[in-house]
Amino acid sequence: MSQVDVVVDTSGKAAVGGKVLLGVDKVSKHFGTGASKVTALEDAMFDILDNEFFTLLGPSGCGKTTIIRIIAGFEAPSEGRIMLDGRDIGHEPPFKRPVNTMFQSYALFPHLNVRQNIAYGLEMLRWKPADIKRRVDEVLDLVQMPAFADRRTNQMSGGQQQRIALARALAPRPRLLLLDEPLSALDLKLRKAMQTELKRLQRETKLTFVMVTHDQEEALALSDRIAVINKGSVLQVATPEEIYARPRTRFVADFIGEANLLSGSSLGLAPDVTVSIRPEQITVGMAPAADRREVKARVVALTFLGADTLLEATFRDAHIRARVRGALSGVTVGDEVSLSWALASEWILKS
Amino acid sequence: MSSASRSTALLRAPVLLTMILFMVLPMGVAVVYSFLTNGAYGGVKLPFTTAAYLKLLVQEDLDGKLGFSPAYLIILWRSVLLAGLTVIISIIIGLPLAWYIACAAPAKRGRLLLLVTLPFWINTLIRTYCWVLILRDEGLVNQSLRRMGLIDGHIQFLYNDVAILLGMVYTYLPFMVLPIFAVLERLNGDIIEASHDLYADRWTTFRRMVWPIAMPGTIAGSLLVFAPALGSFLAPDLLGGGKRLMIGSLIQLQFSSSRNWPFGSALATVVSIGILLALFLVVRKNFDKVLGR
Repeated sequence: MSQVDVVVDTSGKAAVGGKVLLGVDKVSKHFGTGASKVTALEDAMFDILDNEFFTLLGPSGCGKTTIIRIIAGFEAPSEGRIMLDGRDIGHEPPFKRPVNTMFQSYALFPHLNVRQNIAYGLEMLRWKPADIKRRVDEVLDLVQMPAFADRRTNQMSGGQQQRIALARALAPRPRLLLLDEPLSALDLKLRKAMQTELKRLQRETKLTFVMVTHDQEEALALSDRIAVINKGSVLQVATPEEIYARPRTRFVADFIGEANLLSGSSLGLAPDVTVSIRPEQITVGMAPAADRREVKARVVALTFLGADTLLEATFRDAHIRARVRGALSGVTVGDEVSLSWALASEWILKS
Repeated sequence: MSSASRSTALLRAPVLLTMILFMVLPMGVAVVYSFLTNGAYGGVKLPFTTAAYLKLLVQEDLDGKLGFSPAYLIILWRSVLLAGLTVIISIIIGLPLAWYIACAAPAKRGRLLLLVTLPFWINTLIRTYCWVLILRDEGLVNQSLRRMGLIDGHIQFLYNDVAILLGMVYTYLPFMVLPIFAVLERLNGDIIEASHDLYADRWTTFRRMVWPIAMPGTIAGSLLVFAPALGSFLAPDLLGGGKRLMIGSLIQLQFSSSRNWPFGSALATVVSIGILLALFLVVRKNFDKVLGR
């Protein structure tokens, strides 16, 4: 993947390529009025490209669900436009938008069997019965549940229901598939398997996926691009690599992976900057070099994690964590150690 | 008998005993009475006869000849019609009401349910009298209309079928709302949104989602409203003026002023068999929907 243009265009669009499918144009959403007015979303602005796997990432209550509810049409934007293929659909009802949602609760229709659930959207679009049957079989194959067509949905496990919900949303070939915390109800092992599955489905169907999640690992693993959201604001839109290497704010640095956020003063730099350094970039006891920054710190904790060892240390007013490969010999709690990292791996954040 | 089946029988005993004592026995008494002869001052005496059932269809005219008379059948038919209308109106009001309550926020939902059940705390007789006070010629509605200058004299609201219907719908509406609410509660907002998301407009969503999912509750509610509405006698007496009889009033009359217990029992038996038959048919047809969930 080329990284040539990302310095100019930090949204990472150039890295992904492709044309704009959906434009979220200065969208705000307020709930309530007067004193009880709550702003769920403030001036959100980003583009989603054709065929990409786009993720809205943020902690719970950050406004990410509000964005996809606005895209789906369940909420109307208070301000701004939702441009799909160059047309403002912001105030169209959900049943007129070529957008389908996979709900967090799956929302399978309890009185219909699997086939009827998946066929529902196609019937509404007035497909021919023969085409509907063919398409239902096709999407059931796609989610690897071909034998389940005549089952009732309440007899199925969470993982199976999830696949049916996915199949139902995929069936009408929407321009945009919205996934609201699609994997959050699954246990860890199933979640990992479904991550791979989702990525495969997105590639095979060539559809545009927009996923909402609070799980940064999931976002990094699946997405072509990520929008990081906090307190109703979109903080950064970029590729996973870009966001990890060059977070734009302290929040992004801290939320995506682990980061040491060191004040400029503790490193002898200008006091109004913050230096972000990833724990795995730090080495213990390496000889000083011109292209490396070194600090002397006192070890306060050592945690052996199997593949890695987590070392926590303090120097001046700062607390720093380093993740070292394997076991760390010859160092105990209370020792003073030399911690160093390449200047190139530092990322300077303006406070 | 093995010990397992003996303990099963023992566990069943209380239920069976209750059912026999409070359902089979009274109905049995009614059936037996209906085949006995009318006592002069009320009560029943031997011998056994089918006179009570004949009275339903046949009446002595002035010359002492027996001829077919539809009078009681008309009352029976009127009762079925009014009870049926009560069910239909209760569905029309109860379904959206239950839907609204099911969609409300949990705290509000509790308050709304309390409001629906609140009338149960007051005696039905008193509540029905309140309707008389509201609807009579010098009642609340007429006075208000006069004060607003909309009418001069008064409008006759009481003593017609509409007033009877109003009273019955008012009394039995909670029996419709509660079972529908119980099934709609599991139809959460996500399912409605999912339907909209899959290109179904509001009307189609109601037709394909809300209505079928509410169906078992609506059937249960209809039975719960129909059965007591058919035998209702307070509303017909107080709001209908007692002139336009319904089967419930007729039965009540036989045990009080008319002192014809066998005929009252025969009427009660016919109504009970009718309701049981309807129940049996509806439940058998919708057995899966009602119990299968």
